Amino acid sequence: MRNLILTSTLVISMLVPTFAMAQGGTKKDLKSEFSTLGDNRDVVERVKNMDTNQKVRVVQNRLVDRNNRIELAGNYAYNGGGDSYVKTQNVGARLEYHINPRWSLGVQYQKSYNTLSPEGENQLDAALADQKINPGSTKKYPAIDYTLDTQLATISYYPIYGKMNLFDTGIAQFDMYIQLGYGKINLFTGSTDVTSVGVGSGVWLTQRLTTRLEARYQQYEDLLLTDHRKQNNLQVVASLGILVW
Amino acid sequence: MVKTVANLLLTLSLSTAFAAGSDKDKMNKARALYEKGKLDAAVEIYSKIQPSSDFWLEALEERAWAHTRQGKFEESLADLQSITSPVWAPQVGPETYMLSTFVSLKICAYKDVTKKIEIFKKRMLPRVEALQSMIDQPSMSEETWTTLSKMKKSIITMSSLGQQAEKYPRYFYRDLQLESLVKKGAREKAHARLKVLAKQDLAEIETNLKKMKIIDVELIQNVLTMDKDHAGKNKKLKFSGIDTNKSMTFPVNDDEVWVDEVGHFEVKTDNCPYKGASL
Repeated sequence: MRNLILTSTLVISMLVPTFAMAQGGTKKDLKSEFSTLGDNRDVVERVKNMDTNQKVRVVQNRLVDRNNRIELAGNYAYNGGGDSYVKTQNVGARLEYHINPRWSLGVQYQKSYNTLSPEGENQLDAALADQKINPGSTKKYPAIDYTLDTQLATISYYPIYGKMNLFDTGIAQFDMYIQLGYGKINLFTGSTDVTSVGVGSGVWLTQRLTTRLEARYQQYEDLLLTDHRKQNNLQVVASLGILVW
Repeated sequence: MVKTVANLLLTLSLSTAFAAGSDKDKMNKARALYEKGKLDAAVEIYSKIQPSSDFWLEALEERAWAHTRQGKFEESLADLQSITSPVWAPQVGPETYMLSTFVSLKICAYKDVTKKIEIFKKRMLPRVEALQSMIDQPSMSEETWTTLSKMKKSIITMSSLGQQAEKYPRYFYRDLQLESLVKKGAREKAHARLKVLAKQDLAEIETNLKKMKIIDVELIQNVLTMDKDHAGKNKKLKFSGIDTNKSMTFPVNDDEVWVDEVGHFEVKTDNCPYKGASL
């Protein structure tokens, strides 16, 4: 009964001006009619403290199907760290088999291109100059070992996904992944095992076109004259590929 | 070359017109089923209208009505979340906001009710102002006539109007009488017809304003008479699982709208944990 009286009073008090307007008022009053809507501050304050028992999410299809697909890509990698006398850049190819959007298996081949770093050149120049002046000089040429090529088998897990606005021309979905790798690295001094761990992101531009940016930490042993040395380096890899199947 | 381009344009315009015609047929069919109470069948046909269609927003709104009548409030709110997105603000009628507010009231999402009342005011007030100023104008402005003149070529759609849509009566370009007057070049008569349409829109806003006030009253009554102990008893809501190999889920942020997400909302609600709305 109390509710009924309360409701009736509220309805009448809120609607009387509206009906009055409909009968005799001008249409310009419609704007002012809005001021009485939702103006009960007490209710608004009470409602603010309540939980809203509603959740909303967006469910969208993956734009690019990566179930049982093969990706073939060309890549460029720049080595950071490692031997301070050698600067290494790599060009290669990768084949990635996507089991599903979460997991993929891959094989990679990289051909390395090495040059002396400014520090290596300085060392070499200094040793050459010294030996020209004094043939019995004990100043040594820098001892270096360098990569010829690398073969790597990888497994990647893609736990995070998202999408990005491509300069207002479209939307591309991407996945971020972690990757473990194991393989062989051919050095000037011979072949050795290499292990790697990396993180990266794959952007699936179209049903066919893919691109990746990856940072990879690699570890292997090289040989300096007779000393085995543990080498750690960081590779930044950029890939451009196609989903061939 | 010119002939080829002309043929292509003709084919394109015919296919667009055909698609529009076919969507109109679908809408008519779905409406007939809705009237007969065959809601499942109506929903199925509404779902066939593609987002590129000029009837898409109407189809979503009417599907939301069908879901509401079926008591499927989650589906209804999912559709309404798409339509009431700020992206479509100039194109959506007052009834949509009223329905959305009503459904929130039905599921006791009172916080959302107050939020939606505010949105209704924010979106409808500028429209009331624009329509009233159109009615008050003694003659048609050059800008309006330029817009109307596009009707001669049948190239106006809600999306082509964009934010401009707010200034005109909704779907004015579908009005056959107005179209005929514009084609004849009868500017004064077209202005009079536009005023009639503007008055109809204002009447629709007024009707829905009254309904919103009734919802507001119901909200006040429910909140003021509610047992305070009930307020914190909401259960944790969990969505059903999806096939992660084919789908992605994203959280919803009211402040940011990604157009590609519109039409892909999913809503999870709880039943009213306390005395529900009696409306």
